[in-house]
Formats: sequence, C-alpha cells, structure tokens
Amino acid sequence: MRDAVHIEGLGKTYRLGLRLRKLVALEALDLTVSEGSVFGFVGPNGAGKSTTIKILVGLVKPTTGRATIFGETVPETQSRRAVGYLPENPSFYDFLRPLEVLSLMGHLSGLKGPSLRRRCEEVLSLVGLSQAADLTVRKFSKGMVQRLGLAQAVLHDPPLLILDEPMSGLDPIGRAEVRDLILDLGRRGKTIFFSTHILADVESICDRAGMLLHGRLVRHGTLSQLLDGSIRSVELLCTGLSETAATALRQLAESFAQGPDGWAFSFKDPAAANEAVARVVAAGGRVASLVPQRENLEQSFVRLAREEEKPPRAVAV
Amino acid sequence: MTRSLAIAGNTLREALRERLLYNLVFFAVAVTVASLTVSQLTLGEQFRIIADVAASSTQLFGLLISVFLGVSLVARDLDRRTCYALLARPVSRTEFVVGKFLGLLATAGLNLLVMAAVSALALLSYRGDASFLGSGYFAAFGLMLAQFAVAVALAVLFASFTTSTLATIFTLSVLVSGFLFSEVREFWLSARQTEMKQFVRVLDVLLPNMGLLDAKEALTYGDPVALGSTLLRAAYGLGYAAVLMTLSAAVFSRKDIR
Repeated sequence: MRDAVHIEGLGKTYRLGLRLRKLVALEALDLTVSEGSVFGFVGPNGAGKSTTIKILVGLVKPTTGRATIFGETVPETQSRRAVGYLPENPSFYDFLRPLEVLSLMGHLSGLKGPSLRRRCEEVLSLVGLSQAADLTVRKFSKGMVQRLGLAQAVLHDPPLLILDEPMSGLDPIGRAEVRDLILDLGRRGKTIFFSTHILADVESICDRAGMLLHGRLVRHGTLSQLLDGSIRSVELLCTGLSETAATALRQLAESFAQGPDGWAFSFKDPAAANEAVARVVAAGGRVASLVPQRENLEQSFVRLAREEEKPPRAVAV
Repeated sequence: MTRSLAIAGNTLREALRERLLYNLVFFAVAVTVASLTVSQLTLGEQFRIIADVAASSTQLFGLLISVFLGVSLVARDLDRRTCYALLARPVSRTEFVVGKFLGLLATAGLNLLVMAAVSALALLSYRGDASFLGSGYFAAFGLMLAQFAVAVALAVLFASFTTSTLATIFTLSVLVSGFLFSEVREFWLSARQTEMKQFVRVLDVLLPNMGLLDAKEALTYGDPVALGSTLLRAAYGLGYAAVLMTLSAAVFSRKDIR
C-alpha cells in the first residue's frame, strides 16, 4: 500500500514582530500515513497540528524537511490535486450562496459544465444543506459553514481528505453526522488525515493516530499500540454487604464509596479484586459489577503531556 | 488561466457588492453633473470646464476606487481566511494574484465605462452634438484604464505583504509621487546640476510616469491624439502594471498564510 502522506524532518519556525522573535511551531516531524487509513492527529492547542496541515496544503512553507502527498512534493501545485481540505473555522465569501461557493471551488479544481452542477448538488445534499441552497453564507450558522466546508472538501472526490478540527462548532447531532460521514468516506477507501483535540473522536473514528506536543511527535501508531491495554485498576460494585464486611474490604481497596445502590471499591491490583469478590460472596453480598479499567486515549494523552512538560517555546533572540 | 478567470469573476462580483464603489461613483457623477451649472459662471469656456471636471472626477474617483478596493479585497481574503480553501486547491499563488488583479481591473473598467458615458452625456447636453467624440476623448478615458491598472497593481502588491492601512498609504504615496514627478522630471533631467541626476534617473525608472498616462488636456482642448501615441502610452502603463504583478506574485508566493 503506497503512502498517502510522507513527512520527513518537517520543521517550521516563525519569525514574529519587528524583532523577528523566534517561535518554533514544529520540530523535525517524521510521519507516514498509508493510503486508505483514517489518521487522527491529536494534540493540545498550539501543538503544531494546524501548522503541519497548512504545510501539507501549501499555505505555509516549511523551514526544514520535506513532505509528499501520493509521491508529489509539497508545495507543488500538483500535490494538491489529490487533496480535499477543510480549514479550521472555515470562512467563505459570505455574499455567495452555497452552490456558488461550490461552483467556484469546483472550477478551481478543474471541474466544469453540467457535471460540476450535478456534483455540487450531490455534495450539498450529502452534508444536509440542500434546504439552505437559497441562503447566502452570511445567514449560515457556524455549524452550517462547517458543513459547507466539508462539502467543498469532498467536492472533487479527492483520495485524501485533510480535515482541520472537523467537529469544531458542531452541536452533538452535527458531530455525530460528521463522524458518520468520515467513517463512510473511510469505508469508501478515502485516506483521512484529521486533527482534533477531542480524543473521543479519535477513538471512535481512527485506525491510527499521532500525538503532537510542543511541536514534536511524541507517539504514533495504531490505536492498540497507543493504548497499551494493561489494566490500570478494577472497579467493584456490590450490594447486600454488612458494615463489618465492608470495613474489612476497605483494607484491600485503593479507594471506596458508599452509594444508595451499595458499595463501590477500586482496586489497583486485579488479584486484590479477586480476593474481594470471594469475600463479598462469603459474606452473603452480591457482586453487581466488576469492571477492569484500561487507559483510554485521553488518559494516555494527559499522562504523556505531563511527562513532556517543558518551558514555553517562544524564545527572544 | 481558467483558474485566474474564476477568481477574477468572483472578485468582480465581490467588488460590485461594495458600498464604497457606489458612493464614489455617485460622487463622480454628481461632480460631473454639477459642472454643467458651475461652468455657467465662466465666459466662453464652458465646454472646457465641463470636460475638465468630468475627466478629472473620473480620474480621481477611479483611482480612489482602484486603491481602496484593491487593498481591501486582497487584505480581506487574508484577514477573513477566505483564501484558505482556494489556495489549498491546485491553484498557484500567481494565478490567485493575477485573478485578483483582473477582477479589480474589470471593476475599475466598468466604473470607467459608466463615467465616460456620463461625461459624454454631460458634454452632449451642453454642445448639442457629438463632435467632441474624437481621438482626444478616447485617449483621455482609454489611458485612464492604464492608470487604474497601475493603481490596482500597486494596491495588490502592497496588500500582499503589509496591513491594509499601510498598503493604502504606500499605494497613494507612490501614485501621488508618480503624478508629481512627471510634472518636474523634464526640468530635473535637463537641469545643469549633475549631483542629483543619478538619483533622478533612478526615480524616473522606479516611479510610474502617471503624467504620460494622463491625456485629459486633449479632451479639454479638443486636441487630436495619434493612435500610435495612445497605444504606446497604454503599453507603458500596462507593462508597468505587469512588472508590479510579477513582483506581487513573487512576494505572495513566499508568504506564509497563517
């Protein structure tokens, strides 16, 4: 399977203000995204996600390194033929109607004639904006603009979609629809490279992910590689325990709480959880649930972020 | 070129929705119409006053439209990030800049057509015949388009790398310098002092010779203008604008759009 995106040693240092203050936005990024995969690019605000994406679509020039898209060197015009791009907080000419926006974008992507018109109507329907075809973009809500952004990204049926925070500004229903749309595009064989700081989206959509912190890629791989799968703790919920039996169990547990439905215990060691279950049964209680807790992407990310904490990147020169 | 034309069409559409355009065209028309009354204060020079006021207001307001729209439409694309989705398509920065320029020039051209027609109507209503529609009339208004091309190209160049306020100031400064320098260039180039001559020669090359593109007097005094002369002068203006656009494309191609 060929590489949809290949990045080698990519770096970007901005020079800001009259004193040309240095701001390192991206440092020596190496990354490969295979064709047909759904890749989540995660990181907090300011980590360098948007800078990477803007380099890939030719909006920003890298200071070091190189990138290719399906073998075409970025930022050559040719490299953008295979790309559909949704900017973060997209903005369109607000005096245009959605079909006019799509028509302009289609012309720029080399589409024309009746097939362009047909395709514009098709993608407008795909993102659920057919009802708003007569409104100008000025009257659109943020969520509608986001949907229009998605429509123009998929308009020319590109094999690679680069989506910068695609869920931003959407309500829960809109988020679910966009998630379904991304999953559907992924099933149709499109390569999807999307950035987000909402880690639940990555877990539900992606097959691979990369974690970016302070402009550096700290982890990269399949979701199962990123989430090591080891049990962090075991949660036991039980009912019908006497006060004496519960007090005895507390000594085994890392933490506990009494609720209206019974007792909840958390055990760091699975063996201790097993011992606790035996004691509950022996004391005449009932085990309501026993759930092993594994590290999710968010916990993994927070842990890495804390490990990687370092001073601010802006350095006065 | 197809992509540049698509961007040009959109730019023209955007410009035609600007209130500023209609305000300035309204003032230009109002001044031309007012010249019919004001000219009655003079003795025997009425035609010249009407022709001069009509051509001057067309030139002044046309240049203002070119500068203000040129700067604001390019700067707005960057500020509002409307250019992100466009530039992420297989569109080169040069195609984008050329498209913007052509759209803005088309806007200035439409404004010029309207003003040339209003001026012709004003002159026709005074004189009662169309004898003024000679080479002087066409040279005066035709060369204004070359002036507008220079103004738009300067606006696009400056707006591609600085703020809209500074871009407006820089563009107006270069245009005013171009008009003023053309008034004194003959005197400076033929002056006996040699110290400043090199500097003057450099300015002569760098600054647009706006005087060369100004044929208002031919209309005012009814002088004929040779077609060859008009074409050569127009070629100078369009060539100057083309050099500016090449510079704009080079500057904009190196710009990080963030």
